[in-house]
Amino acid sequence: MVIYTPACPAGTRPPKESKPKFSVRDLDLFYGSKKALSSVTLKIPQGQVTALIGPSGCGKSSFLRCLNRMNDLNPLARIAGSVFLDGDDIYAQGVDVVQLRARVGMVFQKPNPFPKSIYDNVAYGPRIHGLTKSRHELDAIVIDSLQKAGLYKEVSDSLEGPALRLSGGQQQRLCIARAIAVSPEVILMDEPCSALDPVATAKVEGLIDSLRHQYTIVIVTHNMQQAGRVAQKTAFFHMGELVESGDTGNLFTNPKDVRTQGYLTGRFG
Amino acid sequence: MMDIDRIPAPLKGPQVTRQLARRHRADMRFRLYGLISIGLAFSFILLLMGTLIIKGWPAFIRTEIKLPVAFNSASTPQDQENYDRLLNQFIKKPLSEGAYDNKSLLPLLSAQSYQQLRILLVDGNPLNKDVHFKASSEVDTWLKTRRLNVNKHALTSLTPPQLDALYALEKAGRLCFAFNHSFFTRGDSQEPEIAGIYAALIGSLMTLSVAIVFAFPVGLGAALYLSEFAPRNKFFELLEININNLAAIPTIIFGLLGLAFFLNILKIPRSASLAGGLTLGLVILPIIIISSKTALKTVPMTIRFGALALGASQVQTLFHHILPLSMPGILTGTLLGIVRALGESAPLLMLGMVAFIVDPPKSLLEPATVLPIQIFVWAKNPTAGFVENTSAATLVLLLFLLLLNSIIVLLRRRFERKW
Repeated sequence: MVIYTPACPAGTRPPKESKPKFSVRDLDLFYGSKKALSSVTLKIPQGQVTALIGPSGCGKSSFLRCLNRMNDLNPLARIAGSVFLDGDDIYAQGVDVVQLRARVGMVFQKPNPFPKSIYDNVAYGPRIHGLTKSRHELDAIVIDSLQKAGLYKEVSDSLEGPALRLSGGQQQRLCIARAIAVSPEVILMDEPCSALDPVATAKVEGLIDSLRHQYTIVIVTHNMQQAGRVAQKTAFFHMGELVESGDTGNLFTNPKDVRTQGYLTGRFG
Repeated sequence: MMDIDRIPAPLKGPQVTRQLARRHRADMRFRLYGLISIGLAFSFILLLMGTLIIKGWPAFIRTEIKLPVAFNSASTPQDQENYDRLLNQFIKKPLSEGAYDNKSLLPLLSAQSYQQLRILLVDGNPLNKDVHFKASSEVDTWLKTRRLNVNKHALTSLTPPQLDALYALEKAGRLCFAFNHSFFTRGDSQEPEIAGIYAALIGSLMTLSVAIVFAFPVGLGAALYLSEFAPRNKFFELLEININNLAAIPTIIFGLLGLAFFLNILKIPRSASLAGGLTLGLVILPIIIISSKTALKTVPMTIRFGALALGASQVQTLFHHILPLSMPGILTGTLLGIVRALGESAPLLMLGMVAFIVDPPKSLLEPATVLPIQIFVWAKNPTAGFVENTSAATLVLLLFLLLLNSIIVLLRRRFERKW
């Protein structure tokens, strides 16, 4: 497998850290007897957006869910290999998934706000983790998160209004605000725009770009243009294998593997 | 070989019109079947309610005899005999001098009348006023036949002198109908005119409370575990099939279980509402488990994922999101179970709850009866007064069921699904 070393296209900020945020080594994933991922080895750099692309059923979402152990919820899922977050194996014994998921937030394909008020949606994470001591602090976190998610202007009058009354794009940005509110180090996004219209998609993409300086972002997308727009790094999956990965520009213009070439030129996928 | 290039004919022409007409007729026919079914079901319900109301409503009123009570004696009488003698005097007074047999007049009054008189005279003060006494069941039936045109075929056991006395009393305006308070404030009795459903109502309430207190937490706990925590394996699959089966078992079997376990092993007294409640709890347990599980399953997985991905623990996800969202469904299922338990009688028969209960039970260990069984006991009694009582008690039971079912519908409306 290809392990890329971060190189930066001209004009972008050079990555300060040489250490990767995630380091995945020989990861196998099984659902029952079906092998969903085989021997994936990948490093995900800090402070950048990494896009996972590939045709449907290639294992990119499954891989994403390995990064915050959401696959644990599926009783049939079984993994081999190791995933290091800042050098610590997240599948080691004694790792607390509750703490892991606070460090590695997630945004889903379909916006899934809780059927509560906008405020309560954003405040839920800080509340369960006991991050604040007073209502005042909590208010500050909620407003800050909504501002970072670019939603505050639109909802500042209706914080106590039901989250489900927002539009799809607003709901998805609310979900991003909800994830930000617990100050995660990484945000995983599983096709966050696939249920949104083009205008809402553009807003979310702009948001992703503005967040990447603070958070490491891993985004799954079936939309190559989107990967090109938001991601500095791209990894191409095919049939459970990581085929190729590298700088987005390089991978798109100069793919090394024939499968990558085939996918990028639209011969399959 | 299929002719692939053939294009279907356009939907035009007389044949197509005929076919469309046939399809519309089929639609209409199907709607008609539905209307007929609903009409049938509804008319049977109307019939049931109609008969019950026609038969039962006279039980809510009773004949009373207004007697002039005049009591000046210094000492209050002690025994029933003296009270009866007094009553006899009072009843004679409004009648013109006639040769009324002493023994024939007293049975016109309810057998309980001397107690009413004793309460009136308890402080020994002189008394001089008209007092309403309950008439006996025979008089009640007689007057209802005369005035309300009910019980036309009832045979009266009143003797000619008694009838003469009644005519005289009626002429003097001393016979009247009054609302039958005691139907709601007294327990069972041998005399239909004073028999009431109070004891059975209290018994029902106690039994139901025990059933709910036992079955709701246990059922909800089981449903929560099965739906949220149980590993998916053969054992739990088998368990769920068994729970579903349990809901379909004839309830008399639960009665046998209650008899064997609660009475014979745990030594709970016979007829006690504790034993009845626990047995009914077992009857409604599978209903609560199944409906709660269904309610929990309707909460979408995306909500669970959303909470878990924020770092909520499984129990936090359950109590902050899943349980509140599924509560209306769970409560609806529980109320359905309660409705079932309220109408259940078979398992309680096995526990000896058919006893003749006059006083409402004061504790869970005292003998009790419940409304359906009270109805059953009265239905076996051929006296005209009890026939009325049976229908009236059934009406009260139906009223309670209607009330509970309305609450269910309201709950459903109130918490319509929010996602």
